[in-house]
Amino acid sequence: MLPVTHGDALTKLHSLLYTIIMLIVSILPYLTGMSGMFYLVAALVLGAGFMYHSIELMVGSKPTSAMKTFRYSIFYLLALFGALLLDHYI
Amino acid sequence: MTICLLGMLILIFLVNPLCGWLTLASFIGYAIIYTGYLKRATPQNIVIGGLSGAMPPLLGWTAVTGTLDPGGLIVSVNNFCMDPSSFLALSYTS
Repeated sequence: MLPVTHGDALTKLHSLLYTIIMLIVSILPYLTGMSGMFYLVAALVLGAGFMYHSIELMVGSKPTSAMKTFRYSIFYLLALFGALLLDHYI
Repeated sequence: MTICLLGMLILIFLVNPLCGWLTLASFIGYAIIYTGYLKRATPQNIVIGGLSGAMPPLLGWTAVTGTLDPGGLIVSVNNFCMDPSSFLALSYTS
């Protein structure tokens, strides 16, 4: 709905801003002492991948990058929670 | 509706009441507030609807510990922050 009502550029900017916020929040479990180094590394690597996809969606012009971003977000959730679980046992 | 009722009964009596009420809150937030009202009201609907969509990690946390801890809230908020990027990307695919 947002691309229709407010245009392309604003939607992609919003997507990027929320990705930045998400990156910061994903580091919180390490900062609060709930998780260890393994989770920190995994969160940073996965977050960097998500940032790459968001930036590619914003400045690139490939028609497939939107679907790739969505697919990566599903993989991101799976891998992040898996890392959270594994970190508990390592 | 019957499946919702059955799920609620299972959660309240077999798991713990906090988890059951949180599930009911997220169900109402999604089915009634998001689908019935927000989808027609504002383009920011996915941000508010993402709040009830980000509940499942919190539901899992309360199912195990029975309390609301900061750890569960952090994971849930992480999920909440990821939702807009994902759904805004999805809105381009059609």
